[in-house]
Amino acid sequence: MNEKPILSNNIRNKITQLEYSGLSGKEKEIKKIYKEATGENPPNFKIYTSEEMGIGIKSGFDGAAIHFYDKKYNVNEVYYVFRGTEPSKDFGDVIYDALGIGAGKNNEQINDAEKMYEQVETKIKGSNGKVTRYGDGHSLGGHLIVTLGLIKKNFKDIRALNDAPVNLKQLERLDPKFALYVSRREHDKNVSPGKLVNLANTYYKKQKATISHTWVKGEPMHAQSFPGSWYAGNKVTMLGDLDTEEMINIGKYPFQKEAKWNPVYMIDQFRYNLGVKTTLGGLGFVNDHVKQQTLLNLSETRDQYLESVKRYPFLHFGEIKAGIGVGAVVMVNAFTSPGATFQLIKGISQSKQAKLHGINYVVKYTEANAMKTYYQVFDSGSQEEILLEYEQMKKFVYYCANAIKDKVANLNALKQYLHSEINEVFEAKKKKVKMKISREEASPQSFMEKADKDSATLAWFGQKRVAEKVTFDKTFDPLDDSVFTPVEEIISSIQEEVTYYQKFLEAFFQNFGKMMEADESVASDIKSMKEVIGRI
Amino acid sequence: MKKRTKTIIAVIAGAAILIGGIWMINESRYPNVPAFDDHFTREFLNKDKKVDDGFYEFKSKTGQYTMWFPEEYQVLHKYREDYTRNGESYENWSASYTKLYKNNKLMYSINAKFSENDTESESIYMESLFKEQLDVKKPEKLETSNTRIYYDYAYTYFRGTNQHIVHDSKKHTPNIYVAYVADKESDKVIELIYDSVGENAESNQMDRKTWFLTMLKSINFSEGKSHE
Amino acid sequence: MFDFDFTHTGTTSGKYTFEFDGDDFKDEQAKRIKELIKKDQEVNEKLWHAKSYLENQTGEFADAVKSKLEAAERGYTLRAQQYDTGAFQHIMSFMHSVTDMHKREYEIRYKESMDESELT
Repeated sequence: MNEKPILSNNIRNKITQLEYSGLSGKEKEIKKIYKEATGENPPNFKIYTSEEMGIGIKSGFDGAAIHFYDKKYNVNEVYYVFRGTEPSKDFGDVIYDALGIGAGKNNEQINDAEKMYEQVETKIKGSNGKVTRYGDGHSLGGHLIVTLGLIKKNFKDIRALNDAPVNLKQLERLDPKFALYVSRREHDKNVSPGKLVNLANTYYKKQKATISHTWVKGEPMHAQSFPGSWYAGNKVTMLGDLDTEEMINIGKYPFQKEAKWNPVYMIDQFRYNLGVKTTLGGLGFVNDHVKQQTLLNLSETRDQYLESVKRYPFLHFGEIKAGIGVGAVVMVNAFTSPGATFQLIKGISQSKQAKLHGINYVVKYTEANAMKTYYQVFDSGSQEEILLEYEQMKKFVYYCANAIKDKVANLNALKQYLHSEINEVFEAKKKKVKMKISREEASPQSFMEKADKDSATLAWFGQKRVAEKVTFDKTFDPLDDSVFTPVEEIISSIQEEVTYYQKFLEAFFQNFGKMMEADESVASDIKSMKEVIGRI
Repeated sequence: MKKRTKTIIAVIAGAAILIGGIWMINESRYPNVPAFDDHFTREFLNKDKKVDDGFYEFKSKTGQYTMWFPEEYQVLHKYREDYTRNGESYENWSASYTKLYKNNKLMYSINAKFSENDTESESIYMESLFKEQLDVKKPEKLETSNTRIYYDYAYTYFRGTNQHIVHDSKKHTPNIYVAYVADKESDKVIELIYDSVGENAESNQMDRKTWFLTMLKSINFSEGKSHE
Repeated sequence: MFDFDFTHTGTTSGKYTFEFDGDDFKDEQAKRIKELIKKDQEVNEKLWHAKSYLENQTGEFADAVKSKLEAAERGYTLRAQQYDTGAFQHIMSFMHSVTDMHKREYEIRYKESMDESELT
């Protein structure tokens, strides 16, 4: 079986886009998409749709599966593609549907997704060899495919595009195995969403590694914090203009320690770190570009909230009455009753940025390769999940490795200086002196006259001295140790530095590799990086 | 003025006592079991219809089925996701019951999912349920006049996040029971999972099986629109 | 008359300093070693600059990495001084050695005579 899927992300995005008009009978269009991207015809494939199966009539679920099967070329892959709300609806309606995540209709959609999955799997079971499963979903479709992937636990990779998150409580009720795990561990059927995050991250560790989110920067969905929401997955790719500001979050601002509505994991904080504007009960307390420190330092942000309460009491009247702690509950209730937040929803949908939610933008920016990828990994230092900017880490590694290489080369030049150059210079000077000596020895008289003027002419009795021979001492002492020792010490010190940096890079690789080990493609990428750099 | 105030206070007090009294009397009309103690669970049950020892008739809010509900259990509703329903076509509820035994907390749960699964694909959905939950290919089967019942059970435990399933009930008392109950006259289906947590939670295997089958056999789907 | 032999040979010795510009030599060698040390410093600066790649990186791991680089940067100030001093010592010592090498002892064997004609 091939390691890489036969459909690239670009192709998968386009098929997800096509799914909005239904994939029934769209063989030609799919062939076209594939050919335009690869220049070749795709392997044999068959399309299955929920519509044809009579699934989803009451719940509104709409999905398809494309099975690529070619025994000769060892191709056996199935792509499940789920769509979200009607594309013609504006984002306000999308959010309205998203508020229903975890409710009856949405649960039935997931049930229908499971039914379709089981039908498709039965139909393709006849194919030889093991089938590899891939999933793609946009908006609410993303929520559906991720939830399905977590429940079924046998997808190779799942791509959720501008997706609505998983609902932890819903997941507990729909995945009996997870519910079993939770009740065995907690001896409690009423575990809070906040606690469920930790349990889910542990229980679904393997599945998480197969899920990735692709978000257009500034699109509204991922900026919302729905109650009990969880963006399961290890990888986030941000598309588009990364300077675009994030959208208003109509959900709860996570500044109160008691509020368990937002998952504590960094992927959620990350969304805020991107500069998510937040509103309190939809009534105007807007926080521009909240710094990470502010968000993590809960007491600080609490003060900001209190400030706002003091300055605009009429905005927080309900909370003041109920007491701030309880006010959180009040706001959540307001949030879960869509009617109350409808005004705000409209505000979001009318924003120009809301259009970034559409699948077309995902397609566009992926094709233009305008993207940055982040991995959610376990930070060995803090023992927590963090978001790692993989490309930046890679750049860091190469940069350090190159610098260290330069340092070693320069150190070798210094060693060369110490062991060869100094002596060469000395020998050269020695040679010159020897030549000069020879010259002088060749003319003893002129030498005597310049070197020993007084003895050359003895006026005494008119005597004169004539030089017959001059001999110089031709034994040369070697260079004193004191010439070399300082250089030796410099070299030794630089060598220490080199060792420090080499060990540093080694340790970095070990930790980096460990953090990324869940992601196979990255792990092998790191391995080849190591080989290129030539360490260990 | 003063007299007026006194009267008002007296009226309010009287009304309060009256309302309180009516409330109390009302409450006492309900059977003294956990199922009726809980206001949410009560809505499903018929207090006048104790169908068997320990069971009361439960009517789904979809109106599509009734079944016997064990009186010690309460339907979960702390979170909105605990009980969900979509019109008449889908319903998902969970119920639980806990008790202390020698300082250990024993927990019993039931999860029921009602939906419409086309009968031609019954084996697909049914087999998938048992494969996923119990790692079993062919469950037991029995029939009533109205339903086809598939069921099986096993003992299960976790080592970390890995779930182990033991089928030999002689080795270990089963602590998870799974069932797929299909209406003979329509596409209506209920998937039911029962499980228990805690050592000594299951005292008698035969009793538990009987209890489970009692519930399954009690499922009665309503007549009416079933095919689309 | 008396025939005095006034021709005789003798030797004289001394130390002769061959021409050598010590300062010039010193400057040249200093250039060489300082260039090598400077290159090393430049590479170090490059390494410390690497932390800019981790600017947006969160987590204690990234922080630990950054602080390791910062520690190296701080420690370098002392080392840099040591390199300067060492370079100076090396240059001075080298220069003195080479200068001394230019002071050579010699011995002249000569002939002395009253009569110039005796002297060839």
